[in-house]
Amino acid sequence: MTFAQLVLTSTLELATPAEIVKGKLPDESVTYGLYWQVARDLQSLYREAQAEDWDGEGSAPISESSYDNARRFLADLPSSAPIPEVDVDADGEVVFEWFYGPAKVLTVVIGSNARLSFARLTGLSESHGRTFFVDEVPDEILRSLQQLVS
Amino acid sequence: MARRRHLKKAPISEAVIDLRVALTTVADVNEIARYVRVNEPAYSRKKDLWLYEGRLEFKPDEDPITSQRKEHRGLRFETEDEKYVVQFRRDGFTFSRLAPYTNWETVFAEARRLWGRYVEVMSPEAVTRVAVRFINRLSLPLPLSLQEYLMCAPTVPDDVPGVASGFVTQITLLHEETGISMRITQKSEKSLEPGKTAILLDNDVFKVDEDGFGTDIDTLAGTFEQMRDLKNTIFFNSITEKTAEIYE
Repeated sequence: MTFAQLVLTSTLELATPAEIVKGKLPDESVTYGLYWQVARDLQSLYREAQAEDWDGEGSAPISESSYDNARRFLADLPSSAPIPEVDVDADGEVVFEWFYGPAKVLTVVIGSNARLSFARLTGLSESHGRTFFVDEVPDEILRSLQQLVS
Repeated sequence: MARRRHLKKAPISEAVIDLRVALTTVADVNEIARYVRVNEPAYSRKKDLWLYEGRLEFKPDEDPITSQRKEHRGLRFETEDEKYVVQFRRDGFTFSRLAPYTNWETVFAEARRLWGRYVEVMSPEAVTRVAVRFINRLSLPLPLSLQEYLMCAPTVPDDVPGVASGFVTQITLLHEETGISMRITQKSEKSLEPGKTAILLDNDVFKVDEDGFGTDIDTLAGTFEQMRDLKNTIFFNSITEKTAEIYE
């Protein structure tokens, strides 16, 4: 019995519906292209941060569920939303940051149980909180993003 | 459908002119960066474009083989005001004008000019695909009835209860007379503005020639005009007069 050689090539794992509607892979438009760039950055981070102490500073690895939640969150952001930077914190949770200068910053942290923490600085106003990300970006995050760009 | 006319506040989020090329022996990215820096100083903001690829191979009687690859696809340049973006990639050239849209003549002239730069530095062998893609974003007040704004809004069977909270539709058509294809996507998404929702009308009009078009964009002028006309036909037939009046 012989088996056909099967070679799978994909730039991302299985796409969610929100990812699919953001266009083909890769998408050359600015509207979706920057999203795909961040999605790839996230994927690259996930690959790097698979083991305990992956960064040599004792950081926990990213779990598959944290990565999956972060990926879905990113896909659900409106195309009009500014593009975030993405990183991993010492607890293995994914961090999205929008930095519009020293007085305009939004940070969103997503972990394995879909819990979402955020901190916002806009001018002299600071706020932070926790919510859950299930299928849609919470309205509070959308309002925070609007304040960043306004 | 809406009457075709110039809309002063056209809801165009991004106008894209795209040419795909046969892979070339590529100039070094540093050389591309230097060339653009010298010849197009207005496009001063530069970003690398990367391709990540993962492979999984199955062979009889062997463990699966995984491999990863990261490859430099090219460079992205944009003007300081972030309104013009151009990509010089190994597989093609993409030019974008972001909102606010100006007019076709200005946008195409700039794309044409930068295409000349691309040909000079990248030396493509042939053009395999040309495209005009306009992404429109309609910002509409909630609550809304989609049928008031879209000519082909998605429908739900009468006896299925519920209120729509999101949708996406996509269809690809072939215009047989010209060989031009049209990928029409309608999609709802949340808006950053309170009390509003957004609907994206993403109209991607393209033509493929596996034997290759020439690299002289002037010989493709007629094709681009046909694609532009089809793009406009799609847009004005996709929206109602009520929608068009919002953007006059």
